Amino acid sequence: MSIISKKPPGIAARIVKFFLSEEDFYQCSGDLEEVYRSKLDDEGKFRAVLWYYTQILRSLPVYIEGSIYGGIMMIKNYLKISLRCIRRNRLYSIINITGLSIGIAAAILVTFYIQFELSYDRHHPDSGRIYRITANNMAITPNPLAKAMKEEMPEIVEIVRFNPVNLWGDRLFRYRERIFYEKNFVLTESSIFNMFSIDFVYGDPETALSTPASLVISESIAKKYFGDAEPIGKVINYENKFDFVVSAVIKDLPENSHLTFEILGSYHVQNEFYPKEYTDRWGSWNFISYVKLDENAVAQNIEKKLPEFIRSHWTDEDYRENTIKLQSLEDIHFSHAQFADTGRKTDIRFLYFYGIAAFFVLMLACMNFANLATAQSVKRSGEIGLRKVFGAKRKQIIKQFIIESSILSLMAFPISIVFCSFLYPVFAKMTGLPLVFSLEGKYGFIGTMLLITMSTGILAGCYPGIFVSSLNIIKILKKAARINSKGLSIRNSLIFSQFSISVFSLCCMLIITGQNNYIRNKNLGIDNENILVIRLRNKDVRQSFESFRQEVSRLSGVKSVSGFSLLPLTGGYNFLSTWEGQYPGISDNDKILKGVAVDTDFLETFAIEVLKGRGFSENDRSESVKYYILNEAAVKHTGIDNPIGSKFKLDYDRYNMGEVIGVVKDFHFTSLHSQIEPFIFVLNERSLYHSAIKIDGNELRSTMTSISEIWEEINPGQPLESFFYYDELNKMYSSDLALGEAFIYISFLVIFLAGIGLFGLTSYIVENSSKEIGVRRILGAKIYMIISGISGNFVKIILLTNIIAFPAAYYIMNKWLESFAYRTEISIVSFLASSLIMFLIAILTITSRSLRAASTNPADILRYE
Amino acid sequence: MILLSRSEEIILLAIWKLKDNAYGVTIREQVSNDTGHDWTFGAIYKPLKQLYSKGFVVKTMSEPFSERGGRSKFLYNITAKGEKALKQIKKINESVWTKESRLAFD
Repeated sequence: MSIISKKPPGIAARIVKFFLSEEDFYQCSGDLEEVYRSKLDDEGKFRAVLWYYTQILRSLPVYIEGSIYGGIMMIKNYLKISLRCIRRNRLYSIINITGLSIGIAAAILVTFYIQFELSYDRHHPDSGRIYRITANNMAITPNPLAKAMKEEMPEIVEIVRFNPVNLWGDRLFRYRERIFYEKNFVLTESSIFNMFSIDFVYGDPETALSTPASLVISESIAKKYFGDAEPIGKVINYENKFDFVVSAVIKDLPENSHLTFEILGSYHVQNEFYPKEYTDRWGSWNFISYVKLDENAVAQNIEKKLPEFIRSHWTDEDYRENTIKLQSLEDIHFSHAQFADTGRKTDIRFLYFYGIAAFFVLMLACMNFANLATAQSVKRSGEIGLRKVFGAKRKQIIKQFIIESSILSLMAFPISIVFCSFLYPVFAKMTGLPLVFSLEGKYGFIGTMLLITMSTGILAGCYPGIFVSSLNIIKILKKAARINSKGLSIRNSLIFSQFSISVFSLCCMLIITGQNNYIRNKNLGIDNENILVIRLRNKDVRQSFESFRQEVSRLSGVKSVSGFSLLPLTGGYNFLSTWEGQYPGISDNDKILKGVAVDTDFLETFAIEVLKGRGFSENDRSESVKYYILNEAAVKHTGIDNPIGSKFKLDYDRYNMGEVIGVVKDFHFTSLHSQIEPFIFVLNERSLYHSAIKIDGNELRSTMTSISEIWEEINPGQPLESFFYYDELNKMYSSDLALGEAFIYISFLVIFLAGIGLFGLTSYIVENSSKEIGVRRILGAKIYMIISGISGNFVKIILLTNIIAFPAAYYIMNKWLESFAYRTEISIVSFLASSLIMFLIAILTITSRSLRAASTNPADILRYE
Repeated sequence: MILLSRSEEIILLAIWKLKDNAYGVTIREQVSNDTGHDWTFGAIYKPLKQLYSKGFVVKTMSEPFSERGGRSKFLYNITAKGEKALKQIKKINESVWTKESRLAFD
C-alpha cells in the first residue's frame, strides 16, 4: 500500500482547520492521522473513514465554541472598523442598505407565502394519515362507501362523511328578522371533531351533533345572527321548514384550511330532508368522505384492495368502472379543480415562480454588495495589507468582511420590515393570501426572517472577503493591485448578470402585459361592460321575475333586461342534440353541443350579433315548436348547409323536431384559454335562473340603487345577490393577471437594484480615476469623450446581456402563451423596447455620475500633485 | 485550594499515569479506559489547553513520526504544581467521603 492511500480524508480536515488555530490543528490532525492509520490496518478503510468523520462531527460543537470564544476580541475590532467604513462611505452604505433591504423584504414575503401555502391543512393532528376519497377524480362518493370500508378494513381507524348541502346552492337561514343565504352549510358526523382539529368556544364535541336538531356554528356566524348575545339554545329556522337549535359554537376555521364550512348540521337530520334512496344507496354520488389510516397503513395498499372491495358491494354493472383513490389531506390544496372541491386552490407552480423570483432579487442585492465591496477594497488595501503584515490569516480577513456585510444586512432588516408592511397588501392581493397579517405567535417565522437576514449578510460578504484576502501583501502595500484584472472581470460578470435578469424580466413583463391587453381589448363578440347579473335563486323570485323585469326596464339608466339559465362563462350545459342530416352512427361525444336557455331579450342585452335569420321574438313562445339559434361553430360542426329553418332537437326534450331560426356570429363565451366551441341558444323561459341587466355606464350607481329598491319591493325578505359579468369573466384570467402584475413588481425591483448597483460602481470608478480624467482634460479631451471612455465598457456589457436575455424570455413566454387558444404573437418590439429601456437607464446612470467629474475644473483635481 | 473541573482532573491523572508517553492519542485512550466512555479528541484538547495555561502540565515537541503524516507529537508532562493539585484533590475527596461514612451505595 502506498503512503498516499494512507492519508485520511481531506474534506473533514478542512472543516476542522477552519475552527482551530494553527498549533491546535497541527496537534489534532497528527493525533487523528495516527489513530486513523492504525484503524486502517486493523479494521479496513471503510471503518477507519467512518471513525474519522464521526470523531470530527462529534468534536465540532467544542471547536465552534472555542473559536467563538477566541474570536471575541477581534470581533470587537472588526465591528469598530466596519462601522467606521460604513460611516465614511455614506453613499455606498446607503446603496448597499437599500439594496439589501429590498432583497430581504422580497425574500421574507415569499418565504411567508411559501410557508403559508405549505401549511395548508397541516394543523390537524396526524394530517399525514388523513385521506379524502375521490372517485373518477371527483371529490364525491356514495354515502355507504366509507362506512363499509371502515367495517371491512382494519387499517382505517376513523371516518368522517359530509353531506355537502352547500354544493347544490346556498341555503336560507333565519333568526327573527335576520335572514341570510349561507353558502357553507354541511351535514356531518360527530367524528369530525376527532379527525380534524376544531376548537370549541361553547359546547362539547361529544354532544354537539348528537340530536337531529343540533346545529354547530362558527363564531362569525354567531355574531352575524345573534350579535353579542349568548348563542347556545337559540333557534334558527332553515329554509322555512325546519328549526335548528344551536348546540355549540366553534372557532372560525383558519385561513389555511381547505375545509370551509361555517354551519354544521347533524347527520341524524338527513332523514328529515332526504329520502332513504338518496342517503343509503350505493349509486347516490352526493357525499364527501374522509378516512384516517392506522399509523402503519400505506394508502397505496388500500387503493389496491379497492377494486375487489367495490366489486363486492356494487351490484349494478355500471358502477364497477369507478376508480376510487385516496387523496392525501396535505395534497388537497395543490390539486387541480375537481367536482365538489372546497377551499382556495394554489397552483404549485406559483410557489416555484415566486421562490425563484425572490431568489434572484436577493442575489441581485448581494451582487451589489459584492461589487461595491470589491471595488472599494482597493481603497482599503492599506488596512488589509497591514492586517496581513501583522499576521492576520486569510480566514480572519474573510471573517471581517462577513461581519461587515452582516452588520449592513442587520441595518437593512428593520427597513425591509417597513418595506414588507407596505408591500404586503399588494402581494396578498396578487397571491390570494389573507389580507390581515400579524406576527403574533409566529416565532418560527420571526426566526426565519432573522435567518434570511444573517445568511444574506454572510452570502454577500463571502466573495469580497475571498477576493481581498487572496491579494498579495507586498503588491497591496505598494498599491500595485489597483486595477486588478481579476477583480474587473468578476465585476463585469456581476453587472452582466444583473442586467441580463433585468432585461429578461422586462421582456416578460412587456409580453405578458401585451397578452393581457389583448385579452382586455379583444372583441369577444359579446358585450361584457356594465352588465349586472342577478341570481334568481328560488321559485318565489323566479315567479315574480316578470314584474321585476317590467319595473326595472322603466328605469332611465337601464338599456335592456333579460333572463337566462346559466352564465355562458361556465361553459353552459352539454346538450345531446339531434339535427337534420345527422350522420346515423354519430357518437354521443359528437352530438354534444354547449348551450344555455335564454329569453327573448338575451341576445340584445349581451349585444350578440345575428348573422343570418333572426333572434327570438315574442311569437316564438310556442308550446308545440321549439326554436333554436346556433353559432357559426355549431353550424360548421353540424354541417347543416342552410341552417335557417332546418330541423333541430335536444334529445332530452319531449317535443318533436324544433327549428333553427338564426345563426349568431361566433363569440367567446368563456375565456380565451379555450377555443370557441359549437354553442346553441334555446328559448325556454321556464328555467331563467339568472337575470342580466345592461346599465348605462353614466348612471351606474344611481341605477343600481334603484334596482335594489325595486327588488326589495317585489321580493321582500329575499336577499339580492348580484355581480358584474365583467368581474366574473376576469376571474378566469386571475392567474394570468397575477403573473402580469408580479412581473411588473419584479421588473421594477431588479431594474432598481441593477440601477443603483451600476450607479455605485460608476461613482467608484469616477472617484478613483479623477486624476486620470483631470490629465485627459488638460490634454484636450472633450467632456463627451471622457464620458464615453467611462461608459464604453459598461455599454458593451449591457448590449451583450441581450444575447442571453432574449432567447430565455422568448422560450419561457412562448411556453406561457401556449396556454391560450387565442394569443398575441411575441413581437420583436417587446425585446427591442426592453433592451432600449435598460440601455437608457444605464446611460443615464453612468452619465449623471461621470458628467460631474468630467466637468470639474482639472486644476481643482490636480492641484495637489 | 486549587479547583479543577472534573474532565481536567481526569486528564491530568491520565497524564500522570502515562509518565513520559502522554500525548493526544494515548491520553484519549487512557481517559476512555478509565471512564469507560469513548472520548472524542475535541473533548480532550479543551481541558488540555486549560491545564497548560494554568501551569499544571508542560508541553514538549517530539521528533516527527511518519505514522502521523510527518508531524511531531506534543508530549505532555505533569509539573510539580500539577502533582500537588492532584494530591490535594485526592485529600479533599477522601476527607469528604470519610466524613460521610454512613453513605453506602452498594
